[in-house]
Amino acid sequence: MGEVYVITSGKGGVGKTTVTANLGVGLALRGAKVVTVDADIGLRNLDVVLGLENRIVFNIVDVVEGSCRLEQALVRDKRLENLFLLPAAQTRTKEAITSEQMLEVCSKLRKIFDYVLIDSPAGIETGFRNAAIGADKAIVVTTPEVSAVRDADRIIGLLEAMGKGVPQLIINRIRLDMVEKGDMLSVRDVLDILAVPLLGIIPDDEEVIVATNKGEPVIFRDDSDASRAFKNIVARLQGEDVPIIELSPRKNTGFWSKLRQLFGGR
Amino acid sequence: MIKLLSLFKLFKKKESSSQIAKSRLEIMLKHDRMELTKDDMLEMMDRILMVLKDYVNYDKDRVQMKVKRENGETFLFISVPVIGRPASRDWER
Repeated sequence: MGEVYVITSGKGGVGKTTVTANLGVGLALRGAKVVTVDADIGLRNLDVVLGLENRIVFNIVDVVEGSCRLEQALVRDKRLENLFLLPAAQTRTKEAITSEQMLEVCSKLRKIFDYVLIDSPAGIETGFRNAAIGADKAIVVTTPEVSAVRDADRIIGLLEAMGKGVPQLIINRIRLDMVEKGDMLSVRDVLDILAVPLLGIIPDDEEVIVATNKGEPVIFRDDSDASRAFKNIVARLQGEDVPIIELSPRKNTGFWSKLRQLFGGR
Repeated sequence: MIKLLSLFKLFKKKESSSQIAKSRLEIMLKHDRMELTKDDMLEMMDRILMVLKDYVNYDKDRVQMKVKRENGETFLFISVPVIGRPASRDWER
């Protein structure tokens, strides 16, 4: 039986879809049989990030309405034969699927796949609840911004209330230069506030945008910081003990940093 | 050396924007997590402190409240620096 993860955030635009795509590819690269599910009915994006938009025939709404079999709606990745996508419908709304139907889809998928990764829509309403309902575990994505952290806190509370346990956190788009200047919440700050276990941090990396432009998740590359960060997260998901890359300011031991500290720098 | 340190303190930069972000978040999340309005929270604190002052003197400028979450449960922490006992408990006959 496979494990079902929901990737969610509350706030939109923090990188849920990018995280889902990269973790999906990363797990598949390590040999697992993976399906990524786009639960953002009406605003489908995961197909685009994975570069599979031209291969879609049926979608998840067709499956629950009985217009096709589940296997027919699954799109096989063009690079990895053990990676699949269950696309969202683009012309329907969140109400097109009920929680019972979503539960049923999840229970079927977990029999076929080692990992089921569900990309949740933003928000805290039906779309989010449907995305989370069939999941065993939740991954919350945030960026080090006030609004994103606040929404992450809200979603953590809702996930716990739904009985999903304590979610794991991914902090996306960290900029070390800004953290060092004291102009961005540090990893430590965010963890102090949210008090959930950290699954990983992803540096702000232009290569992620380049990768999305091409429809080739950045984790396929070997030469980017974001790619390395995603690979580490994938290893942790598979139970490996990979230390978090130290992105917080260097330990203040040198003469200059001591001097800076005295002058109130951090 | 101590004098030198206090000299440095004069040049200390103002609060960084990340520190401002953190303290703003901490305040916001208190209300969010308790699902109480700001007015409800203030009223609750007032009433708690009203009871306390019959039993202890405290430094009201240093009273702090935190709402923390641990393993799916929400905890309310109130820290009250006690500075002695009140001279009389005149509410007692």
